[in-house]
Amino acid sequence: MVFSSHLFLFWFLPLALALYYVIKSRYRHALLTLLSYLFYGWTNPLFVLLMFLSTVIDYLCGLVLTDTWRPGWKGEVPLLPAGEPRNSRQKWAVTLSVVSNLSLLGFFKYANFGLDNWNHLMEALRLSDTWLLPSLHIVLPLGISFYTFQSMSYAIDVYRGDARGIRRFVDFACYVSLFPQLVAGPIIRFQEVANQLQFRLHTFEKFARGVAFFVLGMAQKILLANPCGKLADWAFDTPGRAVAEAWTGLAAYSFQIFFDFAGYSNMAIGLGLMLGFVFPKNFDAPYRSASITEFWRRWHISLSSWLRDYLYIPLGGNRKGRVRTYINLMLVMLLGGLWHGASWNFLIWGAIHGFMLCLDRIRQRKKNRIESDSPTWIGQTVGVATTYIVVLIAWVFFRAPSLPEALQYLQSMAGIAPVADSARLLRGLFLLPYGILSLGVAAFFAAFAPQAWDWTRTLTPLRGVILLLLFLLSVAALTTQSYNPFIYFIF
Amino acid sequence: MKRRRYDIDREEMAREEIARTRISRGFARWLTAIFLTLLFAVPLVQMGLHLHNDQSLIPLPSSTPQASALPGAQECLLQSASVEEKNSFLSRVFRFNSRLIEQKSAFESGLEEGSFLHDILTPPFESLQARLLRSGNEKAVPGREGWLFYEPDIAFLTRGGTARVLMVSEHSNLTALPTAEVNPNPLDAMLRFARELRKRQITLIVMPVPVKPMLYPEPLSPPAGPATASGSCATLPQPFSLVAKAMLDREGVVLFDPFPVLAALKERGVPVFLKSDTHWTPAAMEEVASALSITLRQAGLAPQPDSSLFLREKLRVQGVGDIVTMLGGDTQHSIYPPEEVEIHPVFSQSGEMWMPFRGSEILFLGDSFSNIYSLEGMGWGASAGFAEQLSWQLQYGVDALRRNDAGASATRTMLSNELQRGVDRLKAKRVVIWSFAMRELAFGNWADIPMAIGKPRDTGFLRLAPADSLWVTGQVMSRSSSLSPAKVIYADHLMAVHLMDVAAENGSFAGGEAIVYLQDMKERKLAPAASLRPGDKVRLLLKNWESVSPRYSGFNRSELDDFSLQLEEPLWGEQLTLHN
Repeated sequence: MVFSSHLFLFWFLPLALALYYVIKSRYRHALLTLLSYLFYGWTNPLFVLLMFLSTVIDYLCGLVLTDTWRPGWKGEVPLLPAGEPRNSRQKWAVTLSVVSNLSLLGFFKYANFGLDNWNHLMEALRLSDTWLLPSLHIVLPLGISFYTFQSMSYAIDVYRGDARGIRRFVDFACYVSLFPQLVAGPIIRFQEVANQLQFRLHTFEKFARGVAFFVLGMAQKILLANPCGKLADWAFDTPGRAVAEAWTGLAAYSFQIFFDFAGYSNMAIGLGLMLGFVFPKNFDAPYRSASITEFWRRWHISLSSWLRDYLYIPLGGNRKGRVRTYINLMLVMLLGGLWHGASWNFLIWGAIHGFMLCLDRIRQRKKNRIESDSPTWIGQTVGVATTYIVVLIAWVFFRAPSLPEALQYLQSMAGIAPVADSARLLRGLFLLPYGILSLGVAAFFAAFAPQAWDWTRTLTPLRGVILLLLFLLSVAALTTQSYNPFIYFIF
Repeated sequence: MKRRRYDIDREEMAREEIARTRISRGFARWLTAIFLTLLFAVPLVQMGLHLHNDQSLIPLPSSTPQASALPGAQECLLQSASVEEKNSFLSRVFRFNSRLIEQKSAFESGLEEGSFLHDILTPPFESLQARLLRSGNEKAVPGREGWLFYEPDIAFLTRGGTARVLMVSEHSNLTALPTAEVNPNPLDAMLRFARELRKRQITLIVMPVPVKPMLYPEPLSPPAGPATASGSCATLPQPFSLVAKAMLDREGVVLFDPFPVLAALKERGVPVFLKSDTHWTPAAMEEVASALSITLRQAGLAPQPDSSLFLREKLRVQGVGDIVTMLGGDTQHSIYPPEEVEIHPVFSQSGEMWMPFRGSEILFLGDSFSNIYSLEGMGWGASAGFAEQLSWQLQYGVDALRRNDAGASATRTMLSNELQRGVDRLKAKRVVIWSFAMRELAFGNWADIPMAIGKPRDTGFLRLAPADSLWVTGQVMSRSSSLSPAKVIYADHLMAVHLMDVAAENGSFAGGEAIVYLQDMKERKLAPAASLRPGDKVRLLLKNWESVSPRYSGFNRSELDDFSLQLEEPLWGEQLTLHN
């Protein structure tokens, strides 16, 4: 189910809110779990079984880790002492959790990628057909990358002593399946909501701010991301595009993916607040970053921090010398790229970001040796522009359906690809008032507008009116748009 | 206390931030109340409207694709599997799951499209967008100076459509393409069709009709003019004939390309496409018909004219473009007013409107480009379409099968069904002219369709003589899909229904079955037939399909999934009421 759909907005959400606030508080997690399973299974009911399986495994691992698995056990689940050695049963439990989640992810997301590459290799080596393996007909379950990471973080957090385990299955199932952030994040790590699963406040102030977040996110998705997406689709789907259209289309895509994902995150945060949960910030004006390092502090913060805490730091982070730091950075970004999808394009996208992060480190190291002053506004502007261009070029690999098409798009951007006669139709479409306005407004908001967290901090009647207008405008626009799922649904 | 990780701060920061929200308690209550009122009002009003209209409280998935009451009707989903595999537990689970997904999709679509919000918000919002931003929607793209374009036509030229066609053309071994959208290969389908026809000494003429942006790129191009290598701003070169013509030539297929005719006409200042419609003008259509008649004569494929069989009259008609309707209809009329054109209806010497001539040596297969000015339901007059004009040019009766939409497969399927029913529509034919919109080359369904003639069957299905009509009752066993008015190009649609336990009210027939076409969408409004479900008992008036086909056969229609049912002689049904 999609947040920005008639079904969710006017049927599922009212029903969910009504039941949630009518029911006794001790049944709320069970209710949320049921609603979340309905929300998730709406796309494909069979996917629910997979999520349930992952949930059961991690729940059981949690019981084993905290030694609370015996029937009839009572009391507060202990917090394992951090930094102390674990027994073999605990090591097995955390390993089982990590392996089972990664296996699920590996099979559903990467099996065919592996098989295809194996077959290409065998063909390249001119080995006989007996070496070739058949492709599997696998449908990628929605949001599997998100909930496996969340589920896995539970076992790891409990193992590390960063969070207490959960004894009630329904509480844990609620955490894994919580519908506001289930399908496309933000990735909520267990330690971030562990306390809230025990107790959380429901106030009008919280609910009202949730409404504000939700409406802003919806407007970002429907009024900014979708129109920009239309322009981006035109540019990417037209092979003989000219230079200007290639760059404009790519800029449109950069705004589409930002407002699409940031919009989803804001809607998720808003829904969370309506249900009493507080989720952390996931975006912080990423296109205003003056370096790639800063970009990753502002873009999809829940993923970048997950990768840092569960991958980069365990790999040694920057504690094992310069070369290892660069290797770790590259490795984390390559895996981060692969997390988005099983294709060489995502690997290249990750590699570009990894490489730029390494360069940034080198530059920073040299800069620290020479000067420690804060940058001038010119330096800041150049930094922002350079970072945006690097991010933009990397988006080509993210958006193009295949590597040859990505390279073809880059050729169009460089002006070395043949331009088709039909390209002037594309220019005409871009120059429609609709195209100019969509891009202009999106660029303004990405560059200058206050962030949802800042704007919603103070809610006055005037802002209430703005929210009401945005809501009505979004609903009106929604009725004219066809099915527009969020981009991150497929990751 | 052991260290807390960096990211614990994120949660704390968020909680502090939320705690810092500056909003008065009163306003927080107001904002919450308004939001909840908006959320709850929509389903409550919707349910109220449903109750008021004597419908179910929540819209049910009536237009389920290919709903069927027959157990196991979905077996075809697993055609490639063995009997054991089909009946295995897993297969049954997957089948059940597929059905569930279909049902919920239909439910969700019904909910959205049946919503009063859709009715009250969409037209004014689209009108506002069109006025202020020159923005269209998923199907319509506004150009300058009142021109409107059909989005798939633009997609054909910009979004990889032509590239795919060129790839098809260059694909020498004619196997299936690597891309999924053109499946299978159009050239392959044409050549297979030509070979089938050649077995009966029939020549195939292929006529891909250019789409509007190919002839009129200017209203969509930047005002500064041409920006690309060719320098011409008049037309865009059409992609298909460049490579494919030689291949078709080798196989004896005549490729009749209307593009040069239309481009020349445009050069002379004659409008060749309607400004607000997907289709060509009557003048352009007649010019192409004239050029085709010359080609037929030069190739020795046209019979000698039979003195003056047909007459033409002049008539001015006014119509609203189909793209205006796609943009929201009535609210757009002030921006895109109705257009007036001169058409030339064709009549027989005795004054009867032109009708397809079954005994003709020429069979014309066409889509909406031949239905416009011929099919009254399209709103641009009648009896003046492409087949009529060709007949007039040749002064010779032409047989015709025409259906809106899906020119790649729809008319071949109609022909194939007739042949398999034992009705030899190809008898005495020397030429088959197959016309379709050029965008079909990129987006059409080019499946191989058999053209073998079958034997007439008597399976106990109800048949009626041309002049007969019969009031019957029966039970719906299965039905074909209905389309959503919001998602179609054409304003009318027919569906097929398989009726069981058919009993004539006059007692002349009882206990049999019937295949019935019903109109489930009229002028973009769903008709009662659209909400039929398997198991419903109905009462309706049946007529012979052939007797009404001049009026209805051109409409886009869906067929039943079960292929054997498609081979039964269909009837026409009207005045449908539920009889539960």
